[in-house]
Amino acid sequence: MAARPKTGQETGAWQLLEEALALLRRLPAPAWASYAAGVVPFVLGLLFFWGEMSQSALAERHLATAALGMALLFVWLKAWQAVFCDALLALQGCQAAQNWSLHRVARMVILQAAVQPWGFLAIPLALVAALPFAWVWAFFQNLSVVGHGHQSSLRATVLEAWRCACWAPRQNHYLLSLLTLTALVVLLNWISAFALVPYLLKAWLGIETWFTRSSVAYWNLTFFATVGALTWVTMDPLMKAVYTLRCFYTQARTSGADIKAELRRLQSAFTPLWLLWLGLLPLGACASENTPQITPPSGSLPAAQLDQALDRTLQQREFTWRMPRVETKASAGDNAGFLSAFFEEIAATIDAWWQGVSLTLDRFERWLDRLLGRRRLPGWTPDSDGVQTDWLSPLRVILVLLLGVMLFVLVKWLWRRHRQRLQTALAGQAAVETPAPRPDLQKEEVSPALLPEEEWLAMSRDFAARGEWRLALRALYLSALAGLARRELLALARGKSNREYVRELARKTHQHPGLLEPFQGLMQDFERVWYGRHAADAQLYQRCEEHLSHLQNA
Amino acid sequence: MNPNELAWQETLARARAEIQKVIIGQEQVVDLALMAILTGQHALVEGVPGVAKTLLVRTLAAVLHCQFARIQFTPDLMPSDITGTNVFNLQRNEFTLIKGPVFTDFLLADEINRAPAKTQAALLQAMQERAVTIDRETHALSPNFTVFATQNPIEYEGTYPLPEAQKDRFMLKINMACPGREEELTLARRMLQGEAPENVLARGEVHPVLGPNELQRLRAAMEAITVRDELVAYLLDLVRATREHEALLAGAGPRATQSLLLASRASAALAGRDFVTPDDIKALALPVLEHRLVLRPEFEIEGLTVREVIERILQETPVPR
Repeated sequence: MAARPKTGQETGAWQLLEEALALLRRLPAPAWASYAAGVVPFVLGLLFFWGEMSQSALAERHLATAALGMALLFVWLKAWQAVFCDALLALQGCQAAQNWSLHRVARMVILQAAVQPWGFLAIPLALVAALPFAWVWAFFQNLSVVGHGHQSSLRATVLEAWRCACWAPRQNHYLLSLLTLTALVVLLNWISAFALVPYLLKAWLGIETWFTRSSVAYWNLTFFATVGALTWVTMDPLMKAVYTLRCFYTQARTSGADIKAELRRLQSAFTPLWLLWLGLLPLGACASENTPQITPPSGSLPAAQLDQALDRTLQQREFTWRMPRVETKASAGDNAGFLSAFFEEIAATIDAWWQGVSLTLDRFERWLDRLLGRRRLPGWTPDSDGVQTDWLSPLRVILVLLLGVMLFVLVKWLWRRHRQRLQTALAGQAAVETPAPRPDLQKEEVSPALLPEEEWLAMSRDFAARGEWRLALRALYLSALAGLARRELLALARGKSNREYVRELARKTHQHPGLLEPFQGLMQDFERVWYGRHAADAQLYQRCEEHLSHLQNA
Repeated sequence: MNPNELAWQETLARARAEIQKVIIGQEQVVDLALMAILTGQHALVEGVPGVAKTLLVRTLAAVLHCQFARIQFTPDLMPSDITGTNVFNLQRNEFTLIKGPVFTDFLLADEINRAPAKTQAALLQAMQERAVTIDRETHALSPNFTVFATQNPIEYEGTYPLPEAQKDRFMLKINMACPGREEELTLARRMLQGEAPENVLARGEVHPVLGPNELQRLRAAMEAITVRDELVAYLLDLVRATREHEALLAGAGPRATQSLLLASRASAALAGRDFVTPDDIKALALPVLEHRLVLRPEFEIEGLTVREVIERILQETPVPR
């Protein structure tokens, strides 16, 4: 990496790009995890939204819900991008990232949700106008960097982002050109990967896919959306790193943050050398016999501690070349034979895995203790896992929020269920107390589910007593249906015809073979009278009652 | 059971028995074809080659004492090949009408979608009015004129899909599936014994069950079948639901209502009843409506079929009871 110019001077685009790549290489895994937490749901949601809206026949029906989901995912993405940029900024400044308090997270989310969506309007407009594009683009990228919730107000954040966007416009333009070219190369890479992988799968493994059957399969919007999304996912971390560095150097012009960072870096780099130098001093003294003995001043490091520090330093990877080669001696286990050695190695591997799992579980337990505010276990120190603190803080806030929401939803659901049960019980009680009004059998829209079978039967006998045989037969048939539904031999539905009930009954009456015949007889008589307008009389009614009686007793 | 019902049952039972001498199985197909004849309407028969589409129509003609003619539709078929044409007679010095195959009782329009729309349209007037106009002169067709048009459901290359107006003229679409294993086994055994269906028909072993004018009387008797107002309303609800369904680009028209009503009556007659039940209407909704409805492309892409749409409508429409 080339030497950086003095504070306030504009660096070259290539140099900044190189520095951004170096920064990304040094970035710890938790920061990458935070980035993935934002990007993966958003990209999956976007592809689903794209596919649903471009192909589904029911797109219009789901549009509002899906759009709301996408908006929430966008805010989610921007919030995690701000977390990622904060980690980048901390790494560049050679300092630990600040903890994410609930207040800070809320401020950051509100800020991102308030400002970032304007990019959908401003960026295309700027692109059409061409000239202001670089500034507008830089502004919205900078919002992710400076919008981490530290600024006192929304206005201050926006002004800061704009100030950073206006700095070094020539560098900004060069950077955009280079990043665009890189994005094109990445896009071509993804396209060629998608184009070649199916053919390689077919050639090597014989797996046939849509793409190998016809190359026309590539020509669809979903394919291009997928490739575009993957290109963006590949390029976006670099874009964020570049604009994080730009913001860092812009702010350093007034704060001197770059000098402080350089000093911190030098300090951390010189510590092992300093210790080495301290360790070498007495050795050098002993080497020369003529040199008079120098008595160590009072208050200096004890010899044992110094030796330990020296050993520690020399054991580091950078100094191992200074160590003499140690001749390895055959241990007793080497004579045990290759088979036992093989099993011993497996046992050692399993043991190492188990230790790793135990360590992870231990860490998780400590994290849970800290999250729940329980007493810390002895031996635990904040520095021992200080790395995790940076990214676990926002996670902790989100987890607590999620737990709170889940608890609220659960309580609400239990309360609603309780109320429904209460209402059903009250309604049932009311139904027992007050008999349901009898439906008008002259009307067509009468369902057998309206009354219990006894009520229908009583109604039928009332009509029979008055000589209204047609209505009596209808009530009798409805009573049969209600009875069969009560015995769960039929499922009543307004769209089912009589023969569909017969078929349903035939399927369910293996245990009661005597059910089908009386039901069919009753149905045929009812249909002749009800649909065919055939005359009904007491004799026919008597026969139908017998059918019903057989049905009830079967 | 009244004498009217008994007469139908007897006649139709004899007709079915005679048809079964030739057609093995396919009871539902035979019933649907009889419904088309009894109502004086036309039917579209769809099935793969070799399922006895032609034989069915020839047998029906033989059993019902009717004339039979067949037209093989090809891309170069002209309208005059169907209706007939006036030819100048040099001896008598006048034009003489050479009648086309349309002048018959039962006309089998084989592979109707092989001919272009212009030729297909030659059948429109014949089907609707039972008359054809040749050189400005209108000629009446047989009152028993019934068209059975066949289509092959798998070969679409080089075909001309029937226009919606033409499809609407067919009361119902009969899907002829391949026979079951037992039925095909019976067919094979009969072939070995020299009792192949075509031979049975050719030997004249199928006897007519009706006299020359009895089909007209049977058709007139259909009007005595009771259809309650509530059932007419139910039928209308079904047809109208197809016009309002979101998945359908074109619903069924008023002709579909008439067709479903007529077919339901015929179905009741075939079942030996003098009244229509909701089951008659439900059973015929698919054959009557399926070929008339057009699915929206976006729903077609989703994998929905017209059959499923009709089934959903049938499930959702309350049955009068």
